[in-house]
Amino acid sequence: MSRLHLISDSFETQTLAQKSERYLEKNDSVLLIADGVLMGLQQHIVQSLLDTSDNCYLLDQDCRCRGISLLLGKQPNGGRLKLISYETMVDLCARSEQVIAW
Amino acid sequence: MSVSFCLLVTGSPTQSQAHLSALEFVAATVKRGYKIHSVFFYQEAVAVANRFVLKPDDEAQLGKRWLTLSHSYQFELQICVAAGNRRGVLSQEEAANLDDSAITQIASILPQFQVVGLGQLAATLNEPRVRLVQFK
Amino acid sequence: MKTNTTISIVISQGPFARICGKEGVDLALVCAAFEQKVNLIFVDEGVFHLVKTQDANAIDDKTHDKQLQALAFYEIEHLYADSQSLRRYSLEHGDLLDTVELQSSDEIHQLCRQSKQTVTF
Repeated sequence: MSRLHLISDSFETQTLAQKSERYLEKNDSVLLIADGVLMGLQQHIVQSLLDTSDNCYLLDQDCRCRGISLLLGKQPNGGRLKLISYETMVDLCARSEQVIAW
Repeated sequence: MSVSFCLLVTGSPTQSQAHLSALEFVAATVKRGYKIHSVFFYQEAVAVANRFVLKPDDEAQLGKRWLTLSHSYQFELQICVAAGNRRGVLSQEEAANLDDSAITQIASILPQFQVVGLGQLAATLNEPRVRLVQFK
Repeated sequence: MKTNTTISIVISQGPFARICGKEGVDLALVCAAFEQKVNLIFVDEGVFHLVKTQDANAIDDKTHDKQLQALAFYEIEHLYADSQSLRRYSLEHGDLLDTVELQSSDEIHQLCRQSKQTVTF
């Protein structure tokens, strides 16, 4: 079983790199929620996440409430961050060995 | 479904989305057929249990929403006593320790929130089938 | 007798401006009292909780460095600091309390990975 990482804040590149090194492994999953979804609009940050983890997700409701769903769709690598619902988030949490929020 | 969830909410109700996110998570958990073991409020999150909060009607009434969900789905809302005391979210028993006699009879906590020690969270962390999800 | 449960508590916020670190340490103490194995890990600005030369009297507040020094007494055997964070702030191992062990990012990664739960403050 792998771990799920919940990121609820938007970080600068260097901060994200430091935290990723501390917590992430390739077969872990990353879910961006709350203000964390704003990182989905930053190309280099998205690439950095995709380089570190095979499974990167965005919480759909948090993208919609911030009005960024269309913008995300226009990002060159945006499609590689999968939009998921709260119900899928629950399933991910249940299937993970550990859920770490940072 | 053998896994149940304990939500650890540490984010402020006014300075973070922690509560809105956690409330949605609870609703989704029930839809997926899982059980909520408990919700533990620590750090700034305890402010959600303050009864002396007046929000405009069109803003999210977080305290009331927690009460409704906990009643509907039968899980406990646990406020850490030490964190609550630091932030003025007091049960009547704790308020009795205040110096100001004008308010020693008044609990500032919404009645259905349970005031518990950190040991309650530690005990939950020990449970093998409980998955902890922290909302910051 | 300790249970098989290991909890990692990661503190990234510094002292005085926020109470996060203190409340993180409180949780660590309680978990240890419940006989869990606790990894108490200080990273980023959190390493400043461990600096020997703190003087809370300067702002009429209280440090909890004595509590941190005595953690072994409360069954928390390991107090870790992130070496990368120390370098960022030009801190050396000798600037910290004697009981602190330095860990690399990779070592901290392993500590969290081997835990049942990781809680971050």
